[in-house]
Amino acid sequence: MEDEAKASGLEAETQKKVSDSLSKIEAALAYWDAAKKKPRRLVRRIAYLKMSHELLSGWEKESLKGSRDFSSVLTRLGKFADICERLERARARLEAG
Amino acid sequence: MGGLKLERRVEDALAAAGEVTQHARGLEQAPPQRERTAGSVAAACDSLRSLAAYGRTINPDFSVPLPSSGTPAEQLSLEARFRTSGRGHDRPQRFLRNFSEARAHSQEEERGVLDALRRIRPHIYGPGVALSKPPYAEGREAPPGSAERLSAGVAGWFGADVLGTALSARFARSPPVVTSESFRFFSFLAYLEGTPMYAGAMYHTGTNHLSINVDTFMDEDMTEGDKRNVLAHEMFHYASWLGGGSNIRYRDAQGGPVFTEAMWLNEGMTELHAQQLVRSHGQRTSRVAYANETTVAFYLQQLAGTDIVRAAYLSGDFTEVRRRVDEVLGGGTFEALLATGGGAGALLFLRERAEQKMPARLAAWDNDALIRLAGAAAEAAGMGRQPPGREAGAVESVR
Repeated sequence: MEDEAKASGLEAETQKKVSDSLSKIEAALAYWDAAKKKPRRLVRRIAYLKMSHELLSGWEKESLKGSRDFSSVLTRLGKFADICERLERARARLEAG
Repeated sequence: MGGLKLERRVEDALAAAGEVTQHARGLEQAPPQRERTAGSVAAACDSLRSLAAYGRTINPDFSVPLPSSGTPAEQLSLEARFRTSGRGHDRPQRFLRNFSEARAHSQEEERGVLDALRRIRPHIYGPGVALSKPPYAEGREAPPGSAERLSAGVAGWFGADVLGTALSARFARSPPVVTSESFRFFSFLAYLEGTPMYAGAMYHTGTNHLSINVDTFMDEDMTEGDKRNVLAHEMFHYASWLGGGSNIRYRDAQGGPVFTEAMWLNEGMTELHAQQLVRSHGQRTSRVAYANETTVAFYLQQLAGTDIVRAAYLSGDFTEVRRRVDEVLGGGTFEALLATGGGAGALLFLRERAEQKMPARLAAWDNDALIRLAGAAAEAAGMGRQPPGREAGAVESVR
């Protein structure tokens, strides 16, 4: 039971962090879409942000609507960890140029 | 007129200058669009960097480490499965209330098997092949000494002292129902499942229904103890399913969850516990099913302790058994034992390890009455001789 409560708490904390990140990504994408002149140096970063938004918003939907049993919560946390690994790899490629 | 024109032109110029000034002031206060975009993108990327770093630490609170292989999702799923397996089942997925319902269930199963056989062997199992005829249409027709008559008494042995309080309560709420079936019923099932044709009994997984082969059960060579042992064996399969014992698993030396398909271990444990239960009620048996596997289960019981082994068998979690066996016989012994795949190979492996570390204890184990009986059967089977009567090979059950 204790671990189940911890897992649920961990997922709630993760939802909040994901939501914060999604807000910042959406603001950046909104500015980009509104900009008349789009600096070339930001193009790859915008692609990275779009990819991140797709992954994280998908996870967020699943997390908010999904079953609350222990196994499902752990599976979603595992998927989140996978997403973060992908984001880190994408970021590394971005920085490598 | 000229003065008015000039005054107007000055006013216009002043107004225009004011607009420019105002516009310039506006420009000074608001950063350029491109800077806002760049700043926002940078903030979003920083946020993602922090999120990804957080994702790396997603399992800081669980008390056991995750398995070392597989993606994070696979590792967490395996851990979740390990923990939930131990809960077992509160009740059968399909509960049969009485003999009639269980009889109907047998016919349903047999019909399903016959349909499958007709599809794959139409020239043998044509429309003329009928379902087997059950030995007793009604439970009250079962004679003294039949499985139906003896089952209530054997089920009564499965109290809290045998199963523990919680599991015995589940067992009592959904007691097993027993039906006798013909040899033909078992031969149908054996054909598809690849089990021995002389299967003596089976537990229908997920239900509370046990089927007993009437031809082997009522054979004159079967003692009262042998009959009760067959029933106890199948009832232990049912109890073990209720307790989560179908999922044999353990934590390795690093604490990671491991699942194994070692059903041979489950059969040996089932037979061991059935034999010991029957003997504890003063009944004698003349045969031991799964002789090699039962002997291995006995050795593990001696190494790890009776209560530890019983708890492991009924719940499926062999972590403590693994720890104790490895402590005595050396690290990796338990996993290597599982890797033998059962049978004579498993027994030989464990005996060799025990002989190195504790030859005197091994000799004492082999002197146990049950092991002497099982040893006879195993030895005879290994030498390829057909023993007199039916002592070797024994009546084996089908799950």
